[in-house]
Amino acid sequence: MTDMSPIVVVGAGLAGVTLAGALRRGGCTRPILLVNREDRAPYDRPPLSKDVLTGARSIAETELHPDAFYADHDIRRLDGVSVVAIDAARRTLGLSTGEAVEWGDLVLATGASARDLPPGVVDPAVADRVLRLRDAADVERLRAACVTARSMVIVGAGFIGLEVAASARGLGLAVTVVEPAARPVARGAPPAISEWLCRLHRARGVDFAFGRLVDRVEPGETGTRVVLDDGSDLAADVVVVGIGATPNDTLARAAGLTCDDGIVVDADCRASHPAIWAIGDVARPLNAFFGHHRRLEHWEAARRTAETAAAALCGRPVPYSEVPWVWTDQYDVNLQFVGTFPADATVVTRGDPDGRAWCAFHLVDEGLVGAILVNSGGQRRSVERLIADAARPPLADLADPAVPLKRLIG
Amino acid sequence: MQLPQRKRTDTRMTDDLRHVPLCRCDEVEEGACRQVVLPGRKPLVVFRLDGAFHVLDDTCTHGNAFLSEGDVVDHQVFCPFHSGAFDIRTGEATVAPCVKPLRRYPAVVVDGVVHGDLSER
Repeated sequence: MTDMSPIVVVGAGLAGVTLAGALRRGGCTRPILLVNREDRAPYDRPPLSKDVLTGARSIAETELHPDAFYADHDIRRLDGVSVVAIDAARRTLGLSTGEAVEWGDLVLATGASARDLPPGVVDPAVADRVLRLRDAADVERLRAACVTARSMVIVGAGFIGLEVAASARGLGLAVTVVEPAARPVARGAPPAISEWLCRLHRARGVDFAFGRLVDRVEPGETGTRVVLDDGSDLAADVVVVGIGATPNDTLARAAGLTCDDGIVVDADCRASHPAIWAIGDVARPLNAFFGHHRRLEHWEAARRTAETAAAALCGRPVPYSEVPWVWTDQYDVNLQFVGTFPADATVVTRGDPDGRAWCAFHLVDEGLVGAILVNSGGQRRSVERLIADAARPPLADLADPAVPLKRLIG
Repeated sequence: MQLPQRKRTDTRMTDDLRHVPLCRCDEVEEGACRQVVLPGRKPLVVFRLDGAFHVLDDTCTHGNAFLSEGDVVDHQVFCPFHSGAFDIRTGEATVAPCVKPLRRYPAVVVDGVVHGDLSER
């Protein structure tokens, strides 16, 4: 007999929405319920720190699908509703509305939450000027603050911090970025790329305070006074905190699922309960590319884990295997990171790092393991394939912009 | 005559928008494309697939990227910014994050030159 029990998806970000669509595309006829914490149509998050913050696009213009999509695909959406409890044994969910819903399979796509500064750092009197950027409500608050603000301090020089810096410069604000590490994107980028990013931002008027922690954010003469751990201070009308995110796995832990910095799932994205799955930022899947579990907190992983779980739910599992790929848009630069960047890698540059478009290939034992593509995203698919194949392309070909990378695929 | 090796063609607008010369056929390799810049409008892109020419807007409907700098795979072009894709034959968005279709223009070849019908209809 065909299983017609409902599939309930918790979270309507890219992962949850992609999964629902992929289930229908895969021929799934079971009822699908999408529980959406936010009281608005599901939208794409990457534009929030860029076009939405600068006002070039509205949140409505970043919606993942037109409204008709959900009705056309028989996907029931509950907007403005969160899940308060999971009963894994009875296969039910408790909703914030007080209702309980039954599920045959449960997909957790609860995402991650922006990390806050440690307790006690922010004076409550200026708490409304210390913002973060994670969801649509955050960007609405930040945009409103930027209308009157003339100066911004950004805590954290990761992608979010740097993207907000670029957008804020575009809005005419004076920007200082405070970062505990010695360079931007210290965890994800090789030092040379960090240096390049630094030059890019400094040329656009951004100041950096590296190797510094924020001790206190307190009321200042105009807005806030941000006191650093060396005793120096910065005046800022608005402070943006972009110091990473933590997976929203509280419900999963309470339900007894195995969690370890995210919900641990297998290569089909199935959790430690046979009918519970986890995808997107909250999931730590077994990634065949690495041969171990790794939580990749980015857009492509959300999309791919959703496709993986949907395929398994449709009875046609394809084990998850992803070469990490992440992009960022800052000013007129599109920067993409494909693969991994071990410190001991050999680096081959294609094109002129002072020019508009160039690439940095990273090799270990002659095998391509990573590539940084600056305004060269057209190469992404070829690069990904070369990395997945552990290809050993001739260094001279990698360095020569006249040699299409496609031609190096065996 | 030595052909110019530029990937971009600048061409003059004619009065007849239904019949605008865009580039020579031999300027577009099979399975590839060429950006065409006309005065006063956003760039176009001419694709050549299985010998047929397709004319579309070159600016992605999602990010601010030129599809002519993207990757042509089968009948799709993948945007260089975020790897969303469009069906070159229809303009339809096929891979997220692209959702909105790309505008397509009817194309004809006359005397070895690709012409596009850019009239508003």
